[in-house]
Amino acid sequence: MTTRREVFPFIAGAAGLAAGATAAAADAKTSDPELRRVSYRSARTAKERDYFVYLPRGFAQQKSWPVMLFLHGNGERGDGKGELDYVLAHGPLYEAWVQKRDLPFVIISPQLPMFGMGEVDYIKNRTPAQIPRRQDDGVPVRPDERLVRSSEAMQGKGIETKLPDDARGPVDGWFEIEDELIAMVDRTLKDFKGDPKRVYLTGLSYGGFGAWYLASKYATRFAALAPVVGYGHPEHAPAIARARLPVWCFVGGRDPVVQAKFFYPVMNELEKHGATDVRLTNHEDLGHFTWVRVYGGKDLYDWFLRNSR
Amino acid sequence: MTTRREVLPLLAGAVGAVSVGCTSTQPSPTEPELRRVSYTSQHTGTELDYFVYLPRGHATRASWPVILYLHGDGDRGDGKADLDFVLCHGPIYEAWIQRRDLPFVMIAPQLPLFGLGEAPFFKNRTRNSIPQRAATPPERPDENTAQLKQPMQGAPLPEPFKFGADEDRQGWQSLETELVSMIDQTIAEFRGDPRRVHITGLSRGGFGAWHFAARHADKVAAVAPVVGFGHPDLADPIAKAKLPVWQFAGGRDPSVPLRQMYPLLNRLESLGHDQVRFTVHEDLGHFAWIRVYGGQDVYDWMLAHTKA
Repeated sequence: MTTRREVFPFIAGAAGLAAGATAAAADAKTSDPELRRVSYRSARTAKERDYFVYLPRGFAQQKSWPVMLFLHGNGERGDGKGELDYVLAHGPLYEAWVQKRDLPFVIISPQLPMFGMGEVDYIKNRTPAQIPRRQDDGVPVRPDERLVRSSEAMQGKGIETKLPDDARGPVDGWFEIEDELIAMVDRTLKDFKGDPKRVYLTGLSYGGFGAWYLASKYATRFAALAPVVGYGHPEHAPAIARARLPVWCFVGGRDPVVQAKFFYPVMNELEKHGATDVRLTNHEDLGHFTWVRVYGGKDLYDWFLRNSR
Repeated sequence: MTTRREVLPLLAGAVGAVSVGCTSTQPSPTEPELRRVSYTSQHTGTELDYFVYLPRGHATRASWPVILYLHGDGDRGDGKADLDFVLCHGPIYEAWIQRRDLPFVMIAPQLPLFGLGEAPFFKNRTRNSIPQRAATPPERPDENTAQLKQPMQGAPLPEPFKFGADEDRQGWQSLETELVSMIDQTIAEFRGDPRRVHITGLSRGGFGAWHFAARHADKVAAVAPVVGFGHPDLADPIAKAKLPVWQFAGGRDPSVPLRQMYPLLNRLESLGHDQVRFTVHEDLGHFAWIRVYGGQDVYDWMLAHTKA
């Protein structure tokens, strides 16, 4: 695993500026946010791949930082090289880097390999022009949180205990590279002043499933878990409850892709196993893009910061 | 009221890092204040008081957003000696007791007992339950205290309503004209911005917020009812004014069932209103308001709305 800096290809202006300024004036003033690329050798794909590490404002001035591992959704897969920028499209990294919010976390944002998904229409038809940019001045408008929403009236959807997938979640998911994800966390703790007691895990859609799975396998590594529009499996519950890992799960009541009725079983199972810090928030008016509201707000980040191992 | 240590404890590191260097050069803003304002209630024919909270730096800005906060059943009282009970919950609790610098002028009136004084939660309450503003804020009550024995599950739609939109006679609707006067007076005397008057309330106050918003949609910039539903017949004026709505509920609330929330919200949407939010904290019961008001998002949402 070799680490090296590269200038971020699509936003060379902003990234280059930040890099230059920090090197020169790191001691003199509060350091600017930075987006780094870290390379590693992926055992699963037998290739070199990159992931992003976001360093928050003032990174150089503080000894220890909370860490957030963010797992993106299905549409942002790629080769971890030329396609890595797709992971900037949504989630906390989008908020920090594109929306320029000073979120006080070191954010790890890896990319899930394409595996068999290259022919899915929204992946096949995507273009780099869709990738949001960090602008020199100002910030772009967020995507509409009401996207991918069914037109049905709001009402509770009941509970469905028969889940379509096993505990690993849908096929070709993040479970395929779980070892690599944990290695990224370890490396970030070492190389980027990460606080091992404050490692938070979140993800959206496919990344929500991945977050549940990873938390169940490495429950004691994390200080809090926040899966968004991805549900867990009841089999995840014992390990998460035993580790007393706080959970805040989010769902859109009108999500036609990942439906609300599947979210309840694992939550109830957690409580059955004695977990007391278990939250499930249902934005009944929203669909799959519920993450826009969740990551666009502040409550989730504040909740993370209240929890440490 | 002398403490300047108002930085949110959880963000102390980050906030400190960002604000270092600029704090010392600015003149110190005015401290938050809690005022009592007296008025004569038409409904009761007696003099009552309400609280007006003035945020930090009130004197240094010409115009402020306003929150009208309507409490729940348990905090009723005589508007005089009992008034402190309205500090027990809600945004006024967050600002005054938890010492958060919420940038609003807040109006917090008290609903008279209206004959409910024999209910156990009045008979058994004591002034000891009123939280005190202290140098170090107390811990918030447990949002999970209600008996949440049932599993989490999506609730179905309810049966049609068996009562009308104006039948909460022991509720806030009886003080409607008084509330209007409070808003007007706050705009006139406390630099309230007439285009940024927001209304929120919890439980009985949630019903009240809906009712008031429907009757005075022209006065309100956003409405956030918490664990209190509105009657579907209130939809028309709210939809017509496209008044932004954020309804909150606890999925396991045994007092105000979640399923009662859907009819009005769906009616609003069917009338073409596209700024309707509905957030259910499925894990919580009636005390869902602790999470809602204890967070930041509901306030940021209010601040994003100004009446045209």
